[in-house]
Amino acid sequence: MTVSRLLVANRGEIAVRIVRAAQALGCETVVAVSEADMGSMAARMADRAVCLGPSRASQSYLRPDLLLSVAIGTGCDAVHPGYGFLAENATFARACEDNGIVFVGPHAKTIEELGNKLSARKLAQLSGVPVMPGTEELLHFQDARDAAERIGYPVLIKAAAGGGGRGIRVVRDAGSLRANFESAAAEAEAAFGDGSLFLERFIERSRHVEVQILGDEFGKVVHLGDRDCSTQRRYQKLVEEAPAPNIPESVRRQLHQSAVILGQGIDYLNAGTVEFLYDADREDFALLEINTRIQVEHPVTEAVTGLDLVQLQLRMADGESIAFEQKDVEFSGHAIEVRITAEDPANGFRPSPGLIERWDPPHLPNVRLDTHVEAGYTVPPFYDSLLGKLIVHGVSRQDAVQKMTDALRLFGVQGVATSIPLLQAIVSHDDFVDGHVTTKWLEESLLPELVLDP
Amino acid sequence: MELSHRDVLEIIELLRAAHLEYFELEVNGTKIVASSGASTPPGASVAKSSPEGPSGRADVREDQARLVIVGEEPLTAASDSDRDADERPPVASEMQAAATPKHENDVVVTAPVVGLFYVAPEPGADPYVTLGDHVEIGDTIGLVEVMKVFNSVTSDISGEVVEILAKNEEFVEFAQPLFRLRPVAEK
Repeated sequence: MTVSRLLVANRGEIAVRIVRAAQALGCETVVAVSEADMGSMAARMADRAVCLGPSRASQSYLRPDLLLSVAIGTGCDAVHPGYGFLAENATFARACEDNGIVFVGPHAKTIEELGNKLSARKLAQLSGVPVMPGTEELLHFQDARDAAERIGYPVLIKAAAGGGGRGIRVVRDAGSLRANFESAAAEAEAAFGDGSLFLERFIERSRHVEVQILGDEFGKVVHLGDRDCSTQRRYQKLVEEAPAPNIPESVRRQLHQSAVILGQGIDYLNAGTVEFLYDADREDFALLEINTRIQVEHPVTEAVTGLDLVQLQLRMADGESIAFEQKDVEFSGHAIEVRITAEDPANGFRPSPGLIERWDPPHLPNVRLDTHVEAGYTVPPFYDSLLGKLIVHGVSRQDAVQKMTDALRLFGVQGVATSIPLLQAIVSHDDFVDGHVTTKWLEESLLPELVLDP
Repeated sequence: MELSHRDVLEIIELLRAAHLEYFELEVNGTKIVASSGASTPPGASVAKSSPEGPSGRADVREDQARLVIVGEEPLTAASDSDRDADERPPVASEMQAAATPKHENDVVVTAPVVGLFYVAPEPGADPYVTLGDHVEIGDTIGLVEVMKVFNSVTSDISGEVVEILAKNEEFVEFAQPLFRLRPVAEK
């Protein structure tokens, strides 16, 4: 590798994951930490840890100027942004490029184009990739009303700059369109500094299916199969799996092909995810968005392909070509990941920071845990509540579900409330076992009927 | 951390300035030994001591590096891995002649932001403060630059500069100690 010293511009489990991948490639690591994370696992594993700023992310992990200053000051020649924080910040990617530091991800221009949902829609249409019937940017409520009549209710209002479910509204009838239109615009303006909205047809029974792609500097784009992330609450994924269950093979091939064509059309560099909305009733799909970063759920793809995605990211950022052909990518078995968070599902998902008194993960074959947590660790209140990702790999989906059931049962945590009881309820539910869960299933079916011991 | 070429050059520069008789550094199996002619073998004379310990000896830890220095002058020491700003030993910096002993009422001024530390308003200019200078509350005593934005390091007290803990143009972390000041009443 020509990259010899990597700055990890993130925290938590993904910082640990990145340090490990870099070390495996013989690359030195510097981890930039906030005050709250100075004793973190990643900080201890890395060759060097540098205090970036105060604990609040807005004064540390979200400051491109501070991270760039650390990269330069510690002699790093590359930066891995992980996910969240600055991972899809085109300004940061461009500043790295301008300072001769390799940004491990796509070019700043790509991040910018794909970060806006409207321009991503246009790029997809140019490549012939299906998008949901919808509109361009809506400047006036009048336009929204006309478009909704044309598309037919229910419709989905979306923020062009959106992400994380903000600025999204389902509108079921003309009477509630105005109020939703105005509140979505205000929310998008507040969250992204850009209140522009558009409309799409809303699919009642949809699944979230995404395709992992990789692109190198030489124009080669391959896919590493699909994942299903339909088990969501408020657009936050809780359970992910690979491959997506119950999809006709012909449709699966089309999904893969669409993702690759889209990637080729924009000279996609590094790892990316093309997210689709899968209409289970029509066995049809449409583009949702394109994520220009490593995804939280990448380990399920690693399990079924045997590839190390973060190492591949570093290699591609280093200018290496993808060393294999599409036909060489083989998929074996079925993998499921659950996100273990410090939230209390029995109490309205209240965040539960604090001291982890006991942390006893299961030691079982084909079970992997990506985490930054250990007994004695204090979960700080400043960041998202992810404690770790438990990943199982089975010979079949049924086998994977069984392995996950066992692994969750044997996982012992004390000190903070976790999502484990809810995850157990999910993977043991008939709807999940059958593999027909839609994105509204958790909120509309499971949670109302679920009784968890507080 | 492996030593980069630049790290080695920096170490050699520091050594040259320090006029040490004997020097030995081991980092992950890489060992640098330097000696200026007839000097005491290290094993016989090295004592474990704090940077402010007996004169002429310092025991320095930087990451996993163990830096043992035996010489005529004490060396202020760095530890990037010690996170607690208050307990962190002074940063490898200027080879100060006999650092003033710490006083319990001393106030440590830390970096307000991560970046490059400057002792003077511009290259070649006189430093804002030198050892022994008197400073007032709100006085600018240094700068930290983050991507061309300069942040003032200011004094919170009225007192005397008793130690400067980082060197000019050194990359400093957030909250890294930069100056030790002694309140006026304590003089």
